[in-house]
Amino acid sequence: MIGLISYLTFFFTIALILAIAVLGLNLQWGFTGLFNGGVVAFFAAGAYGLIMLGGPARANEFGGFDLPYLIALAGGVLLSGVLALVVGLATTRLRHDYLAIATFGVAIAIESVARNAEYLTGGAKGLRGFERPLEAWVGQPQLYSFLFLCVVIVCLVGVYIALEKLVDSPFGRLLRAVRENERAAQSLGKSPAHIRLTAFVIGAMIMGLSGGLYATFYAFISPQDIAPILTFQIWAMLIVGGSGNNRGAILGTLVVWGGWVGSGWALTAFAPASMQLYAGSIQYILIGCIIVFTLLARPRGLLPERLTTTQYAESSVEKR
Amino acid sequence: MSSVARLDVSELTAGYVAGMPIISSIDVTVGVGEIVAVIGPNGAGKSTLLKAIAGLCHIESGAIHVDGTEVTGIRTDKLTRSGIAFVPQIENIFRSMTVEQNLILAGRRCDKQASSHVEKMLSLFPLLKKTYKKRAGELSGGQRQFLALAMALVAEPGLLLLDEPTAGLAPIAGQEVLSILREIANPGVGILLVEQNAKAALGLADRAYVLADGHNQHEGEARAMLSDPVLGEIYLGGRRRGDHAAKPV
Amino acid sequence: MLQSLFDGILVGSVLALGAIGLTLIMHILRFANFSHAELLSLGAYFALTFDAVFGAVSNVLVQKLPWLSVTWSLACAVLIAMALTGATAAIIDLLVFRRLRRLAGPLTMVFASFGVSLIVRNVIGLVYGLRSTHYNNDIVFAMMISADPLLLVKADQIFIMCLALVIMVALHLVLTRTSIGYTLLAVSENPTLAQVNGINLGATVRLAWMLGGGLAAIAGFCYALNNQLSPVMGRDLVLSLFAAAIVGGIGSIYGAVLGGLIVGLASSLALIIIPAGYKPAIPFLIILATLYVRPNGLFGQSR
Repeated sequence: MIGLISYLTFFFTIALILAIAVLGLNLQWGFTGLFNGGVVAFFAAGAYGLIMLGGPARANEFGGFDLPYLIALAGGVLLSGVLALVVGLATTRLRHDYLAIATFGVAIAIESVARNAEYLTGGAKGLRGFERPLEAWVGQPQLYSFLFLCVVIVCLVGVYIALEKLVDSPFGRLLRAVRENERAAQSLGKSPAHIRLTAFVIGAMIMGLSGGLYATFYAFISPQDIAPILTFQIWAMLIVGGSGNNRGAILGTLVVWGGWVGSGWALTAFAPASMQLYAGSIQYILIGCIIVFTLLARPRGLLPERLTTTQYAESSVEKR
Repeated sequence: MSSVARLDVSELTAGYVAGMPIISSIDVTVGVGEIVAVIGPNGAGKSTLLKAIAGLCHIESGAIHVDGTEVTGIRTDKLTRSGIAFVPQIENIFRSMTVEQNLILAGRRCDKQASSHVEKMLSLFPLLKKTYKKRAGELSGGQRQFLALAMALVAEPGLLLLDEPTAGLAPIAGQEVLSILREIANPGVGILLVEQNAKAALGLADRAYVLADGHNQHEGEARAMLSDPVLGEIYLGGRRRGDHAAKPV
Repeated sequence: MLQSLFDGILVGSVLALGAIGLTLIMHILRFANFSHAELLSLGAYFALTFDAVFGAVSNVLVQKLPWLSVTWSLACAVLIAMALTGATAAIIDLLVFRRLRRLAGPLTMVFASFGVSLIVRNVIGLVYGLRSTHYNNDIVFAMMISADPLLLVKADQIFIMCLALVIMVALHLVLTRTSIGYTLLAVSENPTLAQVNGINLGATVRLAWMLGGGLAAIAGFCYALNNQLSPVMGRDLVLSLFAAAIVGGIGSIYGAVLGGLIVGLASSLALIIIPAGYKPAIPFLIILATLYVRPNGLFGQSR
């Protein structure tokens, strides 16, 4: 019983941390139509940023400033935002798929920095020795895990409420206007590039928060944690749930993460020993199939966006 | 006029997005060797009408017959190969290709005697001879329009759809383009011409239609419409005023 | 330095072959196809399979081409691989991208292409195993062309460069001399006008996929011949291919060739000053720099 509870605590902690990143992606893709092909880069910036700022000093290496937790977390989030700004400035004015390529590239670049810049990131061995906030004060590990889950839930709810408010605000309507019809948004006197950049940076910072919580939970971050597959998993979560719907995003996270963990368990338990090596490949194929088939068969996901969009007048665009 | 029209559009309702028609219940006919002008204010649906006939729009209802055969909903490239030539208003040539390549590409659509057709076009538009090896993107506005016309004619179509062929041209160049149309129509080609310069179009055309708000407003002999004082006030003079008001400041 | 230049041109010519198909599809269908690089892997592995098949059928075919480590059976297998990879590209379009074109916008296709690349890459891993392999396990010695500055060259590498050059010249002739070429150029400049000029858009799109797939297969074969076959080679190349297409300007076939050479050279020369571990990030820096300085690339038009 205790085992089950502690497992469920673990499962939901990770799932809900990822759900925060999915919410960030939903702001970018679901509401603004921005393609982020490198979610993991912003997740990683938050995670590494936190540990570099809040972790203990390391010999001959940068970072380890031992800053108070919340400041370190905020620093990680800020780092994600700056990274998004650099990529966004180059691409939000251009062809929409350039953002996809540039973000995909930034994820690869961040991963190679994480692997190689030992001075900064500890290289392949990662950054260890982070002390989780209040852990000593709480004492009991299981209680701490449970309390941490509560903190994650609070963060998730906070981000959810903030995003719902944002989406219902005049700015949120602008986002959808940009997504549906750039020219219409332009004619309202707003710069679509600016609106897109803002949404992109905010979304990336939410991903940074998710990364920060993830690193806090494990008290450790290494290149293993920021493999490219994470981007695809987060994407699958969003479209399965229903992009443009924040509740759908959370539901999709639980479904896909459940499926991921479940399929991993099933493969370990039932697949013949000779196939164990390929368990990862099979899981990746599953994620790929989820993405392709959801797009083809149920493009609006489990909980579709509640649409109040105007029919966009393509005729006026076509005319000239 | 022969019994079967080159083009017979009846009750055509069409637009760019399903359920959002731009033109509705339009009737237009073009006879053999006839030049028909379509005029009307900006946004009346003139270009949409041409694009719908050329198979580039979503057709909600109605029928299009060419030489007595129904062609409603047929794919654009098949329409072209069956003898309908459409010259769009803008981007009507391939800028990255040479004049020669443009003409060969356009001539390829019918048969393998492309070169003899190309020769014919060069004699019809001697201007293009000098620029034969140039990239089309380097041509002047008038030259481009001639090239676009030549590309449409190289496959010897029975029906020519022209979307504002004088738009953006200097008056003299525009006049030159229009004056060649009669020569084209003489052997029996039907021409449906959308023009912003209503007076010039009516001066050239045999018949004309006036479109407003996506509907047929008026049709008749071009000459008669030119001299009709009421029509002149409402559609020709009024159109100009409307144009000025519509321009962004 | 000389060695880096040589390696850069070698890698660049392979990238150029791969990027041609990518830039064509990106331009005609208006979406960044992240699964294009998987076609390189697919082509390389198809060649491996048919090399074994032909080798088993006939003893004559296992003879090597003069000077090279490539056997006749492998050479024949590459032709089959080109056809099969082209067909696979067209089939993927039919099953996935064409449906999405009708249902949704270009970004949804970008999205689906990520899914497709995951599926293709991992199916290759399942079928052929996760370990890297070679067409030929014989050790090939490089010739020392010059000792100072050092330049080591393998005959296979010269072969790859010549092959790339021949294919590019052939492609140039097709594009400028044949009606198929005109059709491709016309559709990539203006699909609507192409239709108005009697070009069947659907057939041309299929042709572009097959051409892109065929060239990707050759590129994959060349890459694998020079390095090794591995299921993740597509993943390793995808960003370089995008960089080549963007540097050259989306839609420009000649731009893709030049872009491929530039990216190949830049990556190779950058390794003189940057530690090898950062190699995967170099194409990203090239992309970012291009987007800031000249977003339409060398030959691209703004859209």
